[in-house]
Amino acid sequence: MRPTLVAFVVGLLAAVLTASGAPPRASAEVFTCGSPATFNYHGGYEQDSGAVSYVGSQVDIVNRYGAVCDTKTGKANFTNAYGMIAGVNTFDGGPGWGQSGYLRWYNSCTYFFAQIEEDAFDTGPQTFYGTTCLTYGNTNTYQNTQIDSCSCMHSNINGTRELASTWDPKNVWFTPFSPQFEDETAYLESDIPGNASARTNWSNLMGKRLSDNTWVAYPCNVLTHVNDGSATRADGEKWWVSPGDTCPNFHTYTDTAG
Amino acid sequence: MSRSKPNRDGQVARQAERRGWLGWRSSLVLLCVVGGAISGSLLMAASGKATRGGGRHAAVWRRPTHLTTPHLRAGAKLPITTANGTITYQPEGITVSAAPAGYSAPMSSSAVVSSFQQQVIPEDAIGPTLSSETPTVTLNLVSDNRSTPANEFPGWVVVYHNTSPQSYGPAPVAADPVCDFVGIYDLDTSQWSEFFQDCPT
Repeated sequence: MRPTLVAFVVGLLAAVLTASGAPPRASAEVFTCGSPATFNYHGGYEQDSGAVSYVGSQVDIVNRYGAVCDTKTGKANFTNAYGMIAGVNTFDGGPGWGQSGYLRWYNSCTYFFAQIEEDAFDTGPQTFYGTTCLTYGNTNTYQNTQIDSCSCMHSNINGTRELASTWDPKNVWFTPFSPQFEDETAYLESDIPGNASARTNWSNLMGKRLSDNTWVAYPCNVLTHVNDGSATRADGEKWWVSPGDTCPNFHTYTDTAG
Repeated sequence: MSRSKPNRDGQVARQAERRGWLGWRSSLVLLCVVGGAISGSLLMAASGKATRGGGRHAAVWRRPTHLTTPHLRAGAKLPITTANGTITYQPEGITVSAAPAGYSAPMSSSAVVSSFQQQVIPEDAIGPTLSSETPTVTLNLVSDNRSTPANEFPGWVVVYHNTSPQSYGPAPVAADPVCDFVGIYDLDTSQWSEFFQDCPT
């Protein structure tokens, strides 16, 4: 091997080894957890009103890593992403919902989860947890919908029913319901999943119309932007909730503010 | 999967990302060398109250802004039915009944409880209850009715009673420790097949 080629290879290897020791470009949570919010913190889009009423929602979400703050290590310190259909109970105004998505806690894998709640004021939820670690970068489909034939609600993941309610949202909630596509954390110091170079992509948003139980592509410009983490944190990062190239697709992630 | 707590969340993931990044660089090196070259009241304008089974219309959804302390309603009960020794977990579509006569489990009940206590999901979902409560452990024939035909297998069913729930939705839920957290260990595949928590409705 000629001396100039040897010098090139050695120099290149040295440059690579030096670079590999540098921190990867990844979201980094704030170490110390701050104050939890009674209703947790949210980032994404939801339908608060609109001409068309839906009884079901569906969305494809890319599975991304999200770090949580480090000084709380129990079940209440989580980060997640989900599709949901929410409602308000006609009896006492209590919130109800059906949601499915993925979540992780401190120092854990990311897992599928689903939860249904008839009326948070006076009933308890049913919660499903997947048993295997999910692969980052994969896309999964999350659907939550009222179904007339069973007078119930199903929470589905990739077409598999994970939970079925023993009550009918149409009987116990006001209409219209609220389709929601959001990330959620217990602390603002935690990251919502994804970063600028590997964003959490939300696509193929669909709604099941109340009027004829037909699944239709979600229209553009009816969803409301939600971002409780838009302020720059102590680490110089913030939550991003950004429109996608095609409305109403969107991206969510945590990265440098600016 | 058991684990130990690191000082900082995500060390493992970052290390994995770092490995991936190095792998990409390594590929570049290889390429260079060879060729010369990743609602307390989310009350939507809930205009008045109605009786259960109502179906009133409201025009706007509002995210909860103040706390109404949740309490379970009188008479709330778990969505579980029992008959002839068979238990049906209705939301999950799972029925557990007596194990086949003469079936000998290849894993002991104490071993399955030990395994359960080392799983990440129970540890995170019900935490301290794992050490303060004694679970019910039964050897059963499990029928997963979410598929057609139902998937049946012999399994250990581990139930921790008196657990409290965690809300992942838009509002807090009653924190009363009255929920059942269930783990089902499939003895055909030697894997945990189900983790779920049912609270009174």
